[in-house]
This record gives sequence, structure tokens and C-alpha cells, in this order.
Amino acid sequence: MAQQYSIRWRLLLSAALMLVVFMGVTGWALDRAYQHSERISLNERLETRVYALMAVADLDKRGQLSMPERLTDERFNLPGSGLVAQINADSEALWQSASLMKDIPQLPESSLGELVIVDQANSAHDWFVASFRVAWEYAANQSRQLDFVVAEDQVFYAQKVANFRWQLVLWLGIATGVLLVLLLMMLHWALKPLNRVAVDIAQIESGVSNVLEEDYPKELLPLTKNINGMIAQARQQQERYRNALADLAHSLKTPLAVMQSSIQEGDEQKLIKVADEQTRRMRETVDYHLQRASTAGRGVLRKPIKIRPQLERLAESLNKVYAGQQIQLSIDISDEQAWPIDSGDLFELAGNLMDNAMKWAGSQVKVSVNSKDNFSCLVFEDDGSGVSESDIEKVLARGGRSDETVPGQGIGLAVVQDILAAYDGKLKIKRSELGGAKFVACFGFGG
Amino acid sequence: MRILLIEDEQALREQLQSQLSTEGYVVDAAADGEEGLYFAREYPCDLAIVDLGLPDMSGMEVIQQLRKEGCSFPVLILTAMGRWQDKVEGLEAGADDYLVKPFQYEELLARSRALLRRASGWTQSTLSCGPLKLDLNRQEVTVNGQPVELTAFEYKLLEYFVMHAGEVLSKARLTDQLYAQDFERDSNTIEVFIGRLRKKIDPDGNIEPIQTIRGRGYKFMLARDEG
Repeated sequence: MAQQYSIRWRLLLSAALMLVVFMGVTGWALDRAYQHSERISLNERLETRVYALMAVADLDKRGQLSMPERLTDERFNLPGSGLVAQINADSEALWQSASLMKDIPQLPESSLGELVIVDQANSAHDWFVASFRVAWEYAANQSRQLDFVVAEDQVFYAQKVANFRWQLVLWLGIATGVLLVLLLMMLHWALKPLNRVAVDIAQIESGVSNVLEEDYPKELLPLTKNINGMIAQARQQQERYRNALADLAHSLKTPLAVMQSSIQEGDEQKLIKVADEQTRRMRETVDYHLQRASTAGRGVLRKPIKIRPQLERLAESLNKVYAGQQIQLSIDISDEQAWPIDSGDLFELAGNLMDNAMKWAGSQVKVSVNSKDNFSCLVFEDDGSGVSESDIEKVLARGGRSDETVPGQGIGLAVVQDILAAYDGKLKIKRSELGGAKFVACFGFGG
Repeated sequence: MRILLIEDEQALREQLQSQLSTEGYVVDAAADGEEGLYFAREYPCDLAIVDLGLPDMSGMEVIQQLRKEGCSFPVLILTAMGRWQDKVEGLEAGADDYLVKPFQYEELLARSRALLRRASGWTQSTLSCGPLKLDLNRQEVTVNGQPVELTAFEYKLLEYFVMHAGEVLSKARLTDQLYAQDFERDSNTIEVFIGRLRKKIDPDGNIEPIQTIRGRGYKFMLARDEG
């Protein structure tokens, strides 16, 4: 079976993945934006320095270049500062700044009056270079072409970018960590009710409490209500088992006592008769109590089942058993009729009542439904002799107290009444329009 | 009549075999489904009594197999499970009636008789063919209202004839109805029994109930009064 990760782990993992992706994209975008802005600023600086160089340069009347001893920007005066300047004429260097220690790479030819900037960082160019070609007029109708070149070592730019990247990673990492901690705290808080359910259920298992409390968030209330329903159902079932066992033990003692007293009397003929009667009684008692214990009863999550197919199966079976009696059995129930009842309970209840009707019927048995208020009833009618008014109470009472039932009397009806009681329902006996008895088995739920 | 009994519990099987034999039925008793199916294939059977809780092959599977192989004789199931769901499943598998264990032997006998009767198309427990009446419950025979004394074998033979009135019954088939598989068979025995039956039922030769069909067997000639 695949490993089942906890909800907390799933949420944390997905949020962490999302954070990592988000932070990665953010870091990349910020890096790109920073480099772009830094490059623009670098180009502007180079351009300004070219103009500043032009401002301090001069040509005398013979066309000779003159430059001051020191330039205003100290980096031009400091060897190895990374900022250099050069003035060329006809590809020959006329002047170089003190900071220049190695040659500035050859620039592409530029037109007169055009500023050329090379800012591609690659191995061929380890300088960012700006060059401006001008025609300098030093006398009337006398001019000279000069290239003013300013360059900055890429190392400085690369260091700047690396610094920025380090800071970016550091702060994004801190932000991710803080967000993850916040997320953990949020998850802990959000999942707290689920943990509480687990703890509460453990307490129910250990017998500390009986039910789950009602103060859960509304999303969990349907779940806790259903769990409470199932707990109540399990308790009822347990109670039924316990009662059935106690009643079984109690009701087996009487026939055992009767047989024991017959053994003591020593009359063999009488003993055989008593043993026969009492074993039959014990058998019916065992049947009844086992059936009672296995009644499923009303369940909170019971899926409604269609009742007609079940009743039809029963009817076909009973038609076989009563084949010799030519009884017409009709089921007047729609195909769509579905009730939240256990299939075994329905079989047991309908089996007993249908069998009863077939047994007493003259030629006709009818099964129908009748639902009103909060009751759904199955109605079994026959055209037999029926049950007289005076006997109805007796029949129902005998069924209701079946641990005292004598052989052959009302075990089936006792089972029916117990099943109905498990569904908060009841059994009624009336006179049928067909002429015989009408058994109305009502379940405590709306149809 | 020949009954196939499939019951794994030895004590109950032997007891039922003995009791049913006393009633005049020929009983093939099997301890499991395989043996039961073997008997059903080898011997003509009129009724099967099958316990649902058999080892290896369940009673339900045995019944389904019997029906699949075209066996149409009635089947009575014995079940320790008294729930209706189990009864219905047994009946749906092909059984005709059920009996929940523990049961009274009289009830088993009554239900077996009813199934045999129904399978032959009779609806009442007294089979009536003109002057001859056969009470299945009391196992009594009257002709024109006068009781006829028959031995157990003679009664069983007559009952089989009446149940299969109008059918040609071969000597071998009649022998199978009277003797279990391990008995020594004598082909003359049936002729002797039929001769005695004719004398007892029709001493004056007026109604001629059993006709000999040369080379094929015998046929019960009296028409049914009902069902």
C-alpha cells in the first residue's frame, strides 16, 4: 500500500515547494532588474566622463594636445584604479591617464560625432569602453580628429553584482525561513481541531469520555455528529448483545430446571416427553435471541435500499414453499421506494410477516407501503380468518415478551417487534379489507 | 421412492437414513457434495435432502450443480442458519423448501411427502384414481372404500405407480425405487410384487390398474380424479 502522508506534511511540503519556486523566480527577476539598471547607470557615467575629458583637453595653435597634470576624478590619477582614459589621433595614443596600466582593447571604428559604448561583459573585453570621435578645430580651417576614450574594468561591476546577489540570496532565504515558520504555526492552529478529534476519540476508547463535544468548527461538525451517531449505534448493538445474552441465559434456565426435576422424578416416559418439549422450547429461544442480537437497527450512515427487489425475492421463495396452496401474492410497491434499513433486518421482518400471511391466507396475500408523518410502514394483508380484536393484544404481548414464549408461539412476531423497536417503530394488527389480518410494520423514519 | 440425502454429520445422516428407510424410501446417503452428485448422476432420484453446511462443496453449490445438470427433482434444504436471507438464497439456488435445524423428524417427513406429491402434480395428500384411493399420510389404500392390506414394499410400489400414473415404468426403474444400490437384485422380484399387487387391489380383475407393456415395462392405467 502506498504510504499515506499526513495532512500537515502534505500542506507543508506543497507550501514549501511553492515558496521555493516563488522565491527563485523573484530572485532571478530582481537580479535581472538590478543588472539592467546598473548597466544604464554605468553607461551614463562613462558618457559623462568622456564629456569631462573633452572639457579639460585642449589643442594649441599647432594642433598639439595639452592635458592637465592631474584630472579631477582621482581614479584617473591612481594606477590600477580600474578607471582609465586615453585620447587617440589616427589610432595612435596622444595621451593616457596615469591609471592606465595595460592597453585598452581596439574599438570598432566610429563615425565622427558618434559616441560608441561597448558594455558586453565577455572574455574578449574585460573593459566597458566609451569612445567619442570629434573633429577638433585648433585654428581657422585647421582641425584634427581625436578619439576620447574612457574605460572601466569589468571587475568592479562584477563585484557589485556579486555583492548584490549575495545580499539578495541572504534576505530571500531569511524571508523563506520566516514564512515557513509562520506557515507551520498557521497549520498547527488550523489543524488543531482535527488533532482534538483524534485525542477525543482516544479518550472515548479509553473510557474517559462518552461522546465527542459539539464545539468543533462548522466544517468538522457533520463528521463529529456522524462519529457520535456511530458510537451510539455501536453502544446500542453492544447493549443488545448483552441483553440478548442475559435473556438467553435466563430463559434457558427454566427448561433446564423442568428437565432436571423430571430426571429426579425418575419416570422415563414422562422424561422423554418433557425433554422433547423443553428442547424444542430451548431451540426457539436460542433462535429468537440470536436473531435479536443480530438486528442491525437504525444507523446514522445507512444507505437507503430499494425495498421492492428484496420483497420480490422473498415472494418468489415463498411461492415455491407454498406452491401447493395456489396463493396469489401481490406486491403493490413502486420500484423507486428506498428506505434506510439494513438488508438483513428487512429480510427478517418481511420474511416473518409474509410467511405468516401465506400460512393463514385463503387465496390472496398483498404487500404494500403506507407512509405518513415520520413513519414508513410495510403492510401485509391476507384473506384468511384474521386476528380477532380480543386476540390482537395477546398476540402482540406474546411477541413482546418472547423470552417467555412457549414452543411455536410468536417467535417470528417477537423478532419483528424487536427489529421495529431498533428503528423506533412499532407493529400494529388490524382487519384487512381482504377479509383477513393486516399487519402494519411501521419504521421510525419518513418515507 | 428414492431419496438422496446429503448430510456431513454422521449421526444425523445415519439416523435419517434409517428412519426414511423404515418409511419404505430407498435412501442414498452421502457425506459430502461430491458423493451426493455421484449418486444423483448414477441413480434415478425423486427427492434430495441437502444440508447447506457441507465441507468442501457447500450445499448451495451442490444444488446449483444439480440444477445445472438438468436434475428436476425437488430439493429440501436443511440449514442451521435460520435467517430469512439464508433461506431465500437457498431457495433461489434451486431448492424447493427448507427446514431449520434442529427439526422434528415428523416435520421432515411431512415436507418430503408434500414435495414428492407436488412434484408428481398432486395437490392433496389423498391420491384418488377412480375406485382406488391412497392416503399418503396414513399410508392406507382403499378400493371402492374397502381397505386393502399391503406390505411396505407393495405400498411403496403402488405409491410410485400412482405418482407416475400414465408413464411407462421399466423394470429397472422400479427396482431402483425399491432397492438401495448395494442390494442384490433379482429381476423376478418386481414381477412377483406386481402379481401380488394386482391380486390385492383387483382380485376380480375388474379395474385392471397395472398394464404390462411387453418389452418395456408397466403402466398405471387408472386416471387421476384431481390435480
